[in-house]
Amino acid sequence: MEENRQLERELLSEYNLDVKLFEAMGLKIKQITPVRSVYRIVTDRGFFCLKKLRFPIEDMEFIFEAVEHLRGKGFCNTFSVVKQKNGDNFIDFKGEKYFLTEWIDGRECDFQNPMDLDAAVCVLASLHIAGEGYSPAICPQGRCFFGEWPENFIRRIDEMKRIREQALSKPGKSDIDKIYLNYVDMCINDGEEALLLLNKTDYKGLSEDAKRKGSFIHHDFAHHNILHTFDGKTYVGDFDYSIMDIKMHDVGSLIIRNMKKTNWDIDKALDILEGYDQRNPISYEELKVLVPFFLFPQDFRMISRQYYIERKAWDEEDYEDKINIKSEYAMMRRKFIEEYEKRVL
Amino acid sequence: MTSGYGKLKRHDLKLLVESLYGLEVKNMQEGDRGIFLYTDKGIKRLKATNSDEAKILFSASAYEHIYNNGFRQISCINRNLNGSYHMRYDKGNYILQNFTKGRVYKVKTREAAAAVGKALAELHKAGEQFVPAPGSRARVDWGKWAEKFKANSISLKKFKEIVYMKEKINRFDKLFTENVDGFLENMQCSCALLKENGYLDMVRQAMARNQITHGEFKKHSVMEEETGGVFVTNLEECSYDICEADIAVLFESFSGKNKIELIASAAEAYSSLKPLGRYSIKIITAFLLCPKKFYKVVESAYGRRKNYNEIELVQKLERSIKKEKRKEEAIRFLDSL
Repeated sequence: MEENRQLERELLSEYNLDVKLFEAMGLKIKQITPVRSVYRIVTDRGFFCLKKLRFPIEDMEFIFEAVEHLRGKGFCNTFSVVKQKNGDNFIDFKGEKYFLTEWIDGRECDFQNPMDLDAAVCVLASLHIAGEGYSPAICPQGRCFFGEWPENFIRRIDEMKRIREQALSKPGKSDIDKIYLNYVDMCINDGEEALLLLNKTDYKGLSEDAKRKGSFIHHDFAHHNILHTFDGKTYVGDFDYSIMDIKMHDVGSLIIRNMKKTNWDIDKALDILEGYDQRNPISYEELKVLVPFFLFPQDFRMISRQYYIERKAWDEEDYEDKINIKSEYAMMRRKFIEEYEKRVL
Repeated sequence: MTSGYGKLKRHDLKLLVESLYGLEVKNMQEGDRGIFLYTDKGIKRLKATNSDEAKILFSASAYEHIYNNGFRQISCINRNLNGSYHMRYDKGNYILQNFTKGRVYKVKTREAAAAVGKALAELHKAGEQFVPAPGSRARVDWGKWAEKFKANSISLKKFKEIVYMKEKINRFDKLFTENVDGFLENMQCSCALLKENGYLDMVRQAMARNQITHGEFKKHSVMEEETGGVFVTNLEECSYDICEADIAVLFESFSGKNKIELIASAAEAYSSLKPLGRYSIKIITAFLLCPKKFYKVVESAYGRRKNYNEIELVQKLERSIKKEKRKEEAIRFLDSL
């Protein structure tokens, strides 16, 4: 949680909230309030969400186009982009680019609330259905994941191995190094096993099929990107990380996010799958692809990467806690997969 | 100034409050519940809060909603001249409230318990259809308890395994192993009670009503006004939840030999305004049954391990066990209804 807050603060500090920016947008500003990594602005024309472009233009065009595609296909559970005076989606101000979306008030989704979770699953299924057929003018590099999973797994396993060498060659080992080294072999094994399992599934076929259909996914379907209004509607925001990929990527991520909060409770995972399947049927092959997805120690890889490569400025105690937790996930995930295979496949 | 507010500089604070709120501060005095400001517009209480601006806005709009819906025995958060409900001072957030003279309500008689029960029912009625002010961040506890208790019970089992794997156990571990099985059973039972007694249906109804709850309705959140009336404070932790959660917190806070009488009286008074059905009583029992305090201490020892201090934790665990055991009588009583 604190790491997210830190990231949000860093992002917010990069905004240039010059009054001239708002003048250029044709707005008279009354109030500016930070909300997570964006600003809620109160203007003479109402409430808006101000967001700074964090990606190259082609990425942003991919995102804007995707949102328009979704809305065109009847998926109105997103925040519409407010066009600038010249008809553009964003404005260039002193070399930085900003855009506005409508502001909708509500509360963040709580995955522990079964009603909220069901609404989120429903919206995800609708998003995937509406997302089909998306054919962007330009699909930037890194936004097209069709058939990429094996390559990604291999690259990440190699990275884990490199980090292990780095940790092993350290002269004085810290507590974090010791915890890391205790678990890293098991995690590399899990990664390699996940790769083997993935190759035994029909991932390739699923991927080709999804590519043919033009399957678009959110790729960051976190609780804070889902908003419930007080009149019972559900909205999805922040398409910054959206990509073209098989729908099970989003479904699997949603399950993993929930498992972390529920001590890897298989019943909860089955509820999510059932809820999704009712709205957008899942095939047996798609269910099989989830096994390697669950098995791959993504959390452990991320935290070790943040510690050894990115060297984020968190204190050692925080790292120790995180590495401990993520290592435990690796153990719990195995039990969870056993249950999943028994009850689903 | 001493205590928690000792680092504050009186003169700076005075000037800040005067300029932000348009008040003339004549005197200031530190109390255990904040700083009392004697102003030209009455006595105010300045309180430090850990909440951010969006959360303060949420509680401020809840206060106003409840007040405007007819529950007047409550103190709203003052809005400053900029339209905001808080002020920043020394990197912290502060809120300013009107102060009502009185003392903590002593719930020792059936009549007093009834008054508190009735006040809670009135507050819940006034808390229906609450839509917070734009820009606020809502605290939401709807529907999460069954999942949370289930996850916590899995964690308790995990902690048990950790202790069994230890070669050498300390006093904390010993105390934990002596008590964990009973509390684990309670936690699982609490989870089952929620599921079997329509917890999710209640949540659905509360969501449809946009029901706001107090969140900390202990007897210490209730004041007795000089005129003898009941006055509710500490609404800063208010959240969207089912009313039964508040009732359970209130029942848990009753103490003394006549605790059962007090619970019965408060329940009856509450029911006269907002009827409590059989299922509501079961849900309240489930909340009481869950060993939240025990879990919290144990989790900080085996889970988060933040600020780990064995001696302190042993004391905390002993206290929590005592508190959990104190609930048994109330649980038995509610179960018999």
